[in-house]
Amino acid sequence: MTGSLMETWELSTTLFRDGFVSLVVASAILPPLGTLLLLRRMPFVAVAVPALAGAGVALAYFLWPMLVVAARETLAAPPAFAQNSGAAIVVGVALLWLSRKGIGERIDAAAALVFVASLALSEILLLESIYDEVAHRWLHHGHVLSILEAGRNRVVVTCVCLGLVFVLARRELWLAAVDREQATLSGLPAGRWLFLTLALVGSACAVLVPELGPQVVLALLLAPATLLRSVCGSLVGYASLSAVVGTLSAALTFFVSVSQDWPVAPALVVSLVIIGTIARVVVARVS
Amino acid sequence: MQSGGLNVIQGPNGCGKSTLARTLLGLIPAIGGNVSVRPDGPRSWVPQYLPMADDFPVSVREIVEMGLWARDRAGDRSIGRPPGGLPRSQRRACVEESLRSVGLSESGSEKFAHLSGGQQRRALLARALSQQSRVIVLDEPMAGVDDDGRQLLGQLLSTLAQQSSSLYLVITHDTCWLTEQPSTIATIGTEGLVVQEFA
Repeated sequence: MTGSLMETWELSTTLFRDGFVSLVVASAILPPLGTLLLLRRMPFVAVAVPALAGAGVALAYFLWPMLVVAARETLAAPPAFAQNSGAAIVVGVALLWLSRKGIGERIDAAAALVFVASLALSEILLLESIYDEVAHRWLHHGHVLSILEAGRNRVVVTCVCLGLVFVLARRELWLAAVDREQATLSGLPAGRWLFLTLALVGSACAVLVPELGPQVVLALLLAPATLLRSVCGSLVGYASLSAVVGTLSAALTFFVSVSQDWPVAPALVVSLVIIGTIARVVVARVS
Repeated sequence: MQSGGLNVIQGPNGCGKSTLARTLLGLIPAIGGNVSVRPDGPRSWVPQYLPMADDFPVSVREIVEMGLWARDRAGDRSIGRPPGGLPRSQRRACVEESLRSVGLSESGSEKFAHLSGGQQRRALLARALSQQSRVIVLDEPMAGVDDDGRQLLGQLLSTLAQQSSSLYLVITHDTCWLTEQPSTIATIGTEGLVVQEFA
């Protein structure tokens, strides 16, 4: 039994090493970014941005064969830069629009609309593209298990950069999220810091969604932040514990996914719920 | 308006007291005229309440420390303090001192949302103290506070205002909680703005 478990673990961390590293690193960064959206009472933004990035990737799938004749013949998927560019353009345009909607519930209501529109756009673009069912599945679930070294590097570099920005600017991000008026008096204009928050989440999604898929990114943004909000007593604890729960869940995900032969996205959701619930119980008892 | 005592703006609900205070702080643009605040420096706003749910994960200590996270217009985080801001040990000492000043020494680790209305108001006042604000504006500080809390908070405000070089401006629709004679009372009513000075 133990030998079988070890074998599964070794298989998941050696054969799928690049995917494992990518998911673990993303799982340490996305949950703290998700806490910023929850603190701002904007959960629908966390739902909408990965969907927007997914629509951007679908746009790349739709346009690529029109631009490159060879792709039309070989059905080769658009390269990473095309997918990232598509995601960045769609996310950027939508976030610019959203950030003009104001702050709080208004932006969240608009984000809900954007989410629905993104799903529809993805479906239509994929339906009209030349790619088959495999591409559809790839788009929705990502390709965590088959991430290559270049993809892993993109994920790691992006996450390290975003992590640094988060750590260096965390106080300002928190103050702007908790008390807008005091933030304004403290030299932190509300609109600018809202935009920075959205830009952090948008950048993460534009790079990570083509590799990990919208469902994985959405789960990491939203699940730890939602599960842990009520049991954490401080902002530092909230962000740190979210990152820990995300990372542990990513490790468990690989194990579950490989041993049960489940797709990564549902395995991640199950892992997040298990680890998040355990963390809730432990924190509640300790405090 | 001057430091060394409380300055009060009173008037019935809806007459524009909070709008006036927000205009003075520069949170909203002036409908007409100009606002000049002397001396220039950090300004604090103590709102009636911070809108947050019971499970909002922010501690009292973090709320107070936010007073130290201010930046000046050039983006410098120090604002009259050493470049780069206070070292962590001094930051903690400043937060603890501010909490002690408002009688919340024991509540630093508690969730802000779990405090009573009066305690939340005192925590926000501690944040203003930690920021070493030149101007501290309190919007209806007694709203939602019980009788014991009103007496405690009223006494605290009078003491702090008398001992401090900061200008304390209180927006309120009733003044029966005042324990000391304020320096100035500005009344907004049907006759416009009537100012009485007592200093």
